[in-house]
Amino acid sequence: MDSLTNTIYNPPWSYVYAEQEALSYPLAGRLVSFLAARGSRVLEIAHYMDLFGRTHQSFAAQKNAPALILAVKHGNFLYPGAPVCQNFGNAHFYYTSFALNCPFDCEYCYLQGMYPSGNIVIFVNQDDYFAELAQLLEQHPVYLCISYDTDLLALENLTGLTRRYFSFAAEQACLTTEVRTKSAVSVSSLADGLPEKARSRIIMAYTLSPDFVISRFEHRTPPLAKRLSAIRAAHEAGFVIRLCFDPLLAVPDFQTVYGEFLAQVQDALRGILVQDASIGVFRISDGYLKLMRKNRPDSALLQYPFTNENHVCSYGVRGKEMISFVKETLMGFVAEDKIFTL
Amino acid sequence: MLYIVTALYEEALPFIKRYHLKRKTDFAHFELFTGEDVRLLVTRPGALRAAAALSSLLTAFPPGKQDFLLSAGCAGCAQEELKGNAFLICRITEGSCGRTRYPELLYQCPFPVAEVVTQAAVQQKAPGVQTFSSESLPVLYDMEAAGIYEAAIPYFSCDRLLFVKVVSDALTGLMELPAAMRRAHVIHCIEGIVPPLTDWVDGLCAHIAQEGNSANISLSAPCDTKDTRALGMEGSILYARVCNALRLSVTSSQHLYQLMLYLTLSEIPYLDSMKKLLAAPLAQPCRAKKEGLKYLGQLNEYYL
Repeated sequence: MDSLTNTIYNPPWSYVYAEQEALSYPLAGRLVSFLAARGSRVLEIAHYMDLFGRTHQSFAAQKNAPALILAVKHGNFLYPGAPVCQNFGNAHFYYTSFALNCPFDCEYCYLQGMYPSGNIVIFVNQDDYFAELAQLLEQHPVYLCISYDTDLLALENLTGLTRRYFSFAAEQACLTTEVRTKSAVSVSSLADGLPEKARSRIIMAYTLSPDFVISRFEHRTPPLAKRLSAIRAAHEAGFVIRLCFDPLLAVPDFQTVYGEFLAQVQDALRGILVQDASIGVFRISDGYLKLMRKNRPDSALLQYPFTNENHVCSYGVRGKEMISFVKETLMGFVAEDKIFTL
Repeated sequence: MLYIVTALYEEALPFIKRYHLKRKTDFAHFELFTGEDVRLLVTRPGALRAAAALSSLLTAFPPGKQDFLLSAGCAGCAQEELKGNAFLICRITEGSCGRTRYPELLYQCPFPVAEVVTQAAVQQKAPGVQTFSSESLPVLYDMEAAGIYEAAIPYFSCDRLLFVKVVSDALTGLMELPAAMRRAHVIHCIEGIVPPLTDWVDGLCAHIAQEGNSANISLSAPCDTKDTRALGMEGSILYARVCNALRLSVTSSQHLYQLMLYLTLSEIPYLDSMKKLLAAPLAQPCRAKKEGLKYLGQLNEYYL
């Protein structure tokens, strides 16, 4: 089926939609030239929501041939962190979105419920984000997650957004940054020119899952071994390492699958200083879950009969047991007070 | 199922021949031709007429999730050299108000892309009429595309709508030709693209049909009307038996269905064990709903 799929769908980013306003930004210019040279067709649009916000789109179908949308972000650039997200003890927890959606296709991804489209939006006015962030930093220190509604590092080879952000962040002594990713992109080159102190304020947060889960549910993501190599490289480059075991999924024979996986992680990362780890089970608002099930009616993962508590669907008591198991297995490898659970 | 929409009978004729379609005489008010897995509607020219006709068809014969809609027909373009060329439409602009719609471009297609502007009347060549857009896309002019998009979008997802236009004239409306020659020219234009177009669309339909048995999975409905095909024949029968035996309400039936759907999709064998677990109520149905709920709780505990 895969080869057949390749023959009927366009390659990703065959079409680039660019807001007329966005085209005047250097990043848009670079992306358009780069992709046009590779055969992509560039089409102008008035506003990215004319395309991204259309009714009756199929998120799942678009994932087969995603378009790239270049837009200028207006309004708010930084948002307070949501209660369902881990703040790791940071008081001023914010997140931002330089991009919407990601090139991976995880079956459990909440973005399927949040966005009407599977296409990827890149906001090209990064300087406007920096200006708002600088203003906020004048008031208090900021803990900022820059890769929540996307996987910024997976898009790095195309956009260079992370590198540019790191240059900005290097100058901000009160700014701590988390870059969450499932990609295996080597971040060694991103460290070039960054002072050691700046690197110590950047947390590379790697989401890890057993290969059983990756091959079945985290489509187009790198296998575990590659992610573990990427962690080693990031550690050697001087970045702070965070491990994210989130979401844990209720797979059959959970303890064997996750037990072997955690042993593999500990073995591969022996000698690496892991700052902290987060553990969370799959949890999603009932509204998002409804849309996700509609999008992927044949997904066993999404059709699990979840427990609905205050409009958040999850595994209930079983979820608590899953978290306890992973936490207990991790203790010794990561200090107990550095394991955060949700 | 493939839905084809054309404005004129002459545009429809090559498709009628290709798919061996027959006129459906009991569909009142509009010309509808049907065949195996194809429905073709002739709307007559104009966006409003097209929207009204298509709406009527889709209300009478609602499309399934795997179905495609192909809007095919002739259009004008100021660029004389493009006559006879076919284009996949990537942007539809409503001439009267400037509103723009973007048909999805997911599939590899044998035709290049172009923009179409839907006008209320035949667009004549005049100074200032656009030939190419700012991105060098040919700009075509028709009278239906915007109406068809609007009428179709409540019934289809964006990726199931395909708009293909052939340039028939350089914005003359073919008025330079006598009526009979005009008709012959339109037929000739469409005939020229039917083989590659139908090969492409048939390939898409076959692929999606192969891919999409999942689209038949029902997500919610009360017990007595529920589409339980996703559970398989035996699963559906057991589901109905258990709902009755446990006296489940609509909400509890939904919980049971969700559990059985999860087990089916996870390929966890459950039919025999469930019959065994529920042997008592299946033999002698529960007297009260509370008792049924207790059994439902036991099922959850056992399988999850």
